[in-house]
Amino acid sequence: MKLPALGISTTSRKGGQNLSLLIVLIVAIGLSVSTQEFLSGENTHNLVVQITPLLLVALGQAVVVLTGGLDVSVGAVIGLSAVIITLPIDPNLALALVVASALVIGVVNGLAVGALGIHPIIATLSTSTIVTGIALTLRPTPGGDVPLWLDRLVGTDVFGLPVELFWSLAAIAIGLALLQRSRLGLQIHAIGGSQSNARLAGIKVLRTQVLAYVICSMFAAAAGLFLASRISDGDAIVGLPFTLMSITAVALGGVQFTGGLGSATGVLFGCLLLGFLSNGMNLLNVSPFLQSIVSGLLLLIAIAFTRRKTIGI
Amino acid sequence: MIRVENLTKSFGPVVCLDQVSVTCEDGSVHALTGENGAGKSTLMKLIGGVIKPDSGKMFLDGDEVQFATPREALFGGISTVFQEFSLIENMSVAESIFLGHERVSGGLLRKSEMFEETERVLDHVGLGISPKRLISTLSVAEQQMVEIARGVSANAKVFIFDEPTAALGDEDVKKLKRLIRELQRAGKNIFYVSHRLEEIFDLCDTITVLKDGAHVTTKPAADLCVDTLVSLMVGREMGDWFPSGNPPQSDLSVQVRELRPASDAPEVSFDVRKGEILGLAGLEGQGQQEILRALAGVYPETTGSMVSWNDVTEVQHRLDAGVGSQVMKGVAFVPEDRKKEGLYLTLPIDQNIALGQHQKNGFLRFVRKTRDKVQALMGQMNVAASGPGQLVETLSGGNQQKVMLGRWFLSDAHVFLIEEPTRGVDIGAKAEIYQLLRDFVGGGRSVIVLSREMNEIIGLCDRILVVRAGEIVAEMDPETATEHSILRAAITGDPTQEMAA
Amino acid sequence: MTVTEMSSVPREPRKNTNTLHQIGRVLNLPPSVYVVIGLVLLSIYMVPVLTKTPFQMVILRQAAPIGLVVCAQLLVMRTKSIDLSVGGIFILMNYMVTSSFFTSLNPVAALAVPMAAAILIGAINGFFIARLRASAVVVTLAMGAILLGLVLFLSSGRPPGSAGDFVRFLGVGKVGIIPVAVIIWLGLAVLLEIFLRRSIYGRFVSVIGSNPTAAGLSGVPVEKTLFFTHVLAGAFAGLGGILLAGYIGMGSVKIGTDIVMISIAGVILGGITFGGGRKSIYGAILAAYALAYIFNLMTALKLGEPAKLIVQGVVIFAASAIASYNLKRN
Repeated sequence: MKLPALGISTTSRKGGQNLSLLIVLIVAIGLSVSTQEFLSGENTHNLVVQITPLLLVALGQAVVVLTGGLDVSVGAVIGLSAVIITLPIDPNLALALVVASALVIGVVNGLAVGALGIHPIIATLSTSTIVTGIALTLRPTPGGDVPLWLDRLVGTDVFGLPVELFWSLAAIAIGLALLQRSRLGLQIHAIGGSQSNARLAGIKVLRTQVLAYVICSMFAAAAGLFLASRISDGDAIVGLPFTLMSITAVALGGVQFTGGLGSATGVLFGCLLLGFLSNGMNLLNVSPFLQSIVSGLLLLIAIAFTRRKTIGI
Repeated sequence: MIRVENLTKSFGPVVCLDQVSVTCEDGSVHALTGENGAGKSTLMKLIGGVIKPDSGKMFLDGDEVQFATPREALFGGISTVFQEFSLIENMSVAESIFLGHERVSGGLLRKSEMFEETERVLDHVGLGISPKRLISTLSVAEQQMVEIARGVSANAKVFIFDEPTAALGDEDVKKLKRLIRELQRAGKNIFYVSHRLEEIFDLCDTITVLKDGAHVTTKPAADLCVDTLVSLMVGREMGDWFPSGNPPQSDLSVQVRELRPASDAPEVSFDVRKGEILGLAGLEGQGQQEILRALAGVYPETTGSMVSWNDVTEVQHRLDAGVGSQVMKGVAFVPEDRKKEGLYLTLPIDQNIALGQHQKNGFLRFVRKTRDKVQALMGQMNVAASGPGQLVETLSGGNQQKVMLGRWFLSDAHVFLIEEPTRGVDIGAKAEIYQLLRDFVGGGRSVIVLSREMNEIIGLCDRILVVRAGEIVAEMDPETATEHSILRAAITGDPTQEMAA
Repeated sequence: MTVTEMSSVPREPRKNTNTLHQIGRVLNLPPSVYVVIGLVLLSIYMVPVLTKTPFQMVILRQAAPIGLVVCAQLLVMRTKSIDLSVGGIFILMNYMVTSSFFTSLNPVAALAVPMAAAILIGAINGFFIARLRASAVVVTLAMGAILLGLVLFLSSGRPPGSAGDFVRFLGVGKVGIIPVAVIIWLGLAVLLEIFLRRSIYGRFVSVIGSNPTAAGLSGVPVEKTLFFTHVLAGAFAGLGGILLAGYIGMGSVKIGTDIVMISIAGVILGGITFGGGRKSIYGAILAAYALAYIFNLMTALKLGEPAKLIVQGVVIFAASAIASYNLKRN
């Protein structure tokens, strides 16, 4: 019997996470064989510090990508929250402002895409520009002080383990709970699968889209706090490279840009892969600039294998 | 017991359902049948909460009910297995059944509980698959069972099956029938929409016939036989706007051999003569559209041969080379859904029409001036527009249809493949379009059309091929064919017992 | 019976005589028209010197590279695609025309080699997008990153060079009082408009933008058209990058970061959205002019880089929100 034309032919909703895991393992084994430092305590610590902010942003990005959207304002949100948290104001107020601004940006993005029908890339590109402009207005050059509470949350050891590891674990736990266990996660997957059929099942599509963009902004804001604390500075443009990196990590993690397919574990593998590659190239004394070429090429290869019906954007 | 009273629904000027009242008793399997476009699916969509009626009431066990969405209907007690599935491919079976009313505690899904419940329900409907399987991995039959399981899980009172066996094999049909009988024994109210008469007589106890959106009759199945039922379904008035033309020439225009639109489709072979309009008739979704589209070059997996003759030149066609290649060789395709698949609504008439001719020239060549030609063609076709610069989206349906045909008139195609030549077109324009097609074949060219309207096929065509399950089951002469005989062949696949209506 | 139900009086085409309709037509102008009017009025009121000819020439010269990259983006967006690698192309062009290897070449080669590179980049984008059906956003984003990395890798450690005389001439030279760059820009924009209007390719671009499904079903070579569009976009972006490099005169890697944003802003201000291909090129020309004008006005008003970003973002957001609203209303 002839099946209806299915857009996907996968047996799992987790996208290509297993393939990513395989590549991660190969890269990890390759690096531990070819370098001595890769598995050293100092380097693994470095790895955790490098990967944590990317993981935060990429998990948020994945939430939006799963709905079938894209958020290129994550880099700007990182910068804004890094700037706000280092403003010379009451630390509690600063934190409240970080959360509030991420909330507003997420809501604006979600409404622009879901209610106004603006293409996600144009909507989030324009908010990205505005947010970077605001962040640069607040702090034209890097500076400021990180509040004490945040300072303690980065760069220290807890139970003999780097505290950054707990950021990562918390992020991945939230990501897993959200995407694999929660009702909202199910609804996010459902609207990524088919907006019209999700509507038939009574899912409020606009609400879900807005929430997805809000979650994405929140994750980006958390990454901003982390980065501000790590470099002890508020830098308005510290986050800009993370936009592309988060998209790359999401693609490498096997999340499909058509929406509906992908997993938090896949995103973790994508981040590990990017982190290992950049770390490994450092260890092998490859120019840092070559790394950006390699990750770009990886992204190209990763999406060349995505089968889509539509052509264009 | 479910009862609908005086349901009416129009889409624009077209009344799809007019004052229809139907009652389905507990433990009854109630068939709804009628020709293509009789309003069966519209009625079921109204009951299932997919669309809202313009007027009319619905009572479930005596209480008046109204549903805004299928989900409301489901929890109000009405479960619909749609013709187009409402499942989402990337959801698991369990998630599909619970989507919209998930079991949660503290925001987290109670997965194991839902799995258990799903297993119970799947067991009930006799579907032995894991609740964790994704919908995209299921066969059509299994997907249908999941839809039914959703209704069982929601403890629905009314089950609606809209053409449920259209895509099922024999084994799956048996399974489905068993399940329906079980639901019947449980005292459910079942609507069964189909035009497969053998199934109707096998399953249903009551039969309602609709025609052109109106209620014709409701009778116990025992009081009806196949022939009386077919007679009740047919009987549209024949218009006298079909133009007469010269009989087709004896020369061949198109020869199709061993055509398979897809690897699992049956083979068909047929000829079309010069000056002939050939009609493909059949019930909806029986493969006639696939045959036509395969000839148009839409499916890359098509196999088989096609040869056509333009004047005296023989043209060999490659059916797997795409639509563009067929256009170059003088084969034009006019799809059914002109707004989505045929026209460029945001562009002016002349750009829409001239495109067919441009396509035959090189990519970087300059367009030749076509405005005068388009203007003249618009005059010939009697397109009501302010000029060639008017945007197509502002035209009426009939004029849009003419623009679509005009594109290929101008490109000098010698074979037309047309789906539904007059869908949503008013009478005046219909007659004009028929005349245009007649004039077109008059010059030694040919047309293959498919249409849901049996009368259109009879009135317009020189010869009729009836398609059932992808195969040509009958060839008819429109002089002697009737709506009744075509429908009979389309339903039973048996053309021998032709009888006068 | 069915037939009578379906019968409806054929709608007479509405004549464009009533006032409401005319107001509608005026409102249908590309947003750049209003922005330019607003800017001129604002500068007459606040910085009158900006409206004088020499300043106008400066604005126009700055508008030239923007105008060319807007043409590139307009082409791909009209076919419902996008090119986010134009920033990377600008950076690569800047590197190529300022690195000593290329400045030592003769003028033709100094122009031809970078242009060939830009065309090749467009072709690679086109291959991935049209042939492999990969998402244009991701492909061109990756391409942008690769190009940036490439330039950083190639130029690392070395001080930036300066552009050759010929490229310099293209960037800052003048014929009479008119900058050469402006002549190139306007000339090419007009040629592009004629090409799009008169060539069969141009028709294909319109129909793919209007209805890709119908284009495929009526035999339009969708893949080929999209591929060629990306190649053409690569060429336009490349020339824009060369003009900007010639204008700046020296090597820089910061140069292309906001070009992507500016190009999209220009397209939207020019009245074109994804697939919407009705408006003519003058909207895009005015948009490039308007963007250069905004930057100059803001500089004159002593507003810094951040404020420019905010204004840019707000303008794009507003223009695209209005465009979607109009689309929904129809």
